[in-house]
Amino acid sequence: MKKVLLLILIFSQSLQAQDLMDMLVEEASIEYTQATFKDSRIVNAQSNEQAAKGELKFMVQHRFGPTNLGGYALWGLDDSKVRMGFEYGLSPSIALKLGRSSDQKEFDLSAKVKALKQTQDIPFAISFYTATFFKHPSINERAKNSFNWSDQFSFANQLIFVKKVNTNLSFALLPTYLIFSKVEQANNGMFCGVGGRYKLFKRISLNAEYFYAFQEFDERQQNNLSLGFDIDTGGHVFSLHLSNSRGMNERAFLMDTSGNWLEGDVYFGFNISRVFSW
Amino acid sequence: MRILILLMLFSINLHAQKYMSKEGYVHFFSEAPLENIEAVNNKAAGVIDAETGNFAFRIQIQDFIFEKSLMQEHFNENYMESERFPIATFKGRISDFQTLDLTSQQTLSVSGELFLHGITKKISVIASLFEENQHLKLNASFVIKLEDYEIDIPTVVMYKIAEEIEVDIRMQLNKKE
Repeated sequence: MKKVLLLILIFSQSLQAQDLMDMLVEEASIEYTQATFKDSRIVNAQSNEQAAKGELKFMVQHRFGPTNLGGYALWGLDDSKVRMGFEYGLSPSIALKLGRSSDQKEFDLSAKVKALKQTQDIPFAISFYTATFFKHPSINERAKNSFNWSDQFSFANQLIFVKKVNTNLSFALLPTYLIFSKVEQANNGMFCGVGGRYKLFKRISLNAEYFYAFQEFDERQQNNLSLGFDIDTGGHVFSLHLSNSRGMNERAFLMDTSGNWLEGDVYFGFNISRVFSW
Repeated sequence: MRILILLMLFSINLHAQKYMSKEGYVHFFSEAPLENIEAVNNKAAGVIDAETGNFAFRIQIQDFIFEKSLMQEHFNENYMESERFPIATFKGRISDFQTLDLTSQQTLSVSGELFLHGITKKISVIASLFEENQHLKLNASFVIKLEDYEIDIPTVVMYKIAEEIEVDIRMQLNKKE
């Protein structure tokens, strides 16, 4: 009896610091999953990341020529297409973007909205992305009889489902609906993208994405497949990648992708994004 | 035997009087050439046992709020790895707590175990205590060496981070029976 009491006494004494600690444990508050991807884009495709409220993000993207041109064209580096874009966080859940691609002189205006955030209880996040594209027509094009202003516009609507499985691994599923000026018989199309990233190191991730087109618009059309690395330097994100697409907006990389990976028609490209906040 | 039972009763009694708060303020600051790094956590929890002087403090790393959300993300993702190490704690004992005259401000050096980024280290903290209207007012500050807790400072980043971080704490602990 004595021994037991003594034991209990010792035990109850030694527990104390831990008891005190247990008193402090609250019912877990909601923890929002963050940093599912390093940047607003996986490679070409949208991720669920966006500029935070009041933040301005500037992005420069380059896509070089086909790597299979050989050494004379420095494996495509002689020829580059560029897109410059701004992204601004209007509120914690709404970001607006404006960009222009040198290819087809195309402007893009878009909004990304966080609809559902992943937490310890909600297993995935949903964002909604909507974009309008406008091809700036040349004077010659405008002089044609068949010219129509409305043909210069295209629209994309996309749901962005993402799941951060753990610190390193994240996935995205991207059902996408595109409306464009008439190509053969069609003026709209459905696509579904899948993407993901795996963090190789704390600041470097391997990214991949693929879009499946549910219909064929012309025989040269290929599904967009891109692979790349994101390098986060704390303020800038550098993204280096290879893709069979040179387009830098949804209309372009879904409709105009004609490169074939198996034949080496792939393009080297990079994105640099920089966040400004004040 | 009787003494033991008495001791037991006494030790149960030890749980009786405590000072407690769940809304403590923790602030850290690091001077850096490009921009200073600082954040505030207003959800620090702490308890001091009045009889034994045992104390425990606990914070959630994700509750640190930065002015810039990108910095906050990097803090959680790259430095503190808050998904792996969600909490930090500090526990120990103020040996002569009962004999302190808390009607006037007392400044003392308190040592304890700081658990941070998955690593436990003994540190000592300069704290001042003062009791007023059943509240115990606590101010404390200390310096954390990032190296001690294996928090890496990468070489290729924009925010050059100092190797030492100043932490200060303000807390008003309410008396609990």
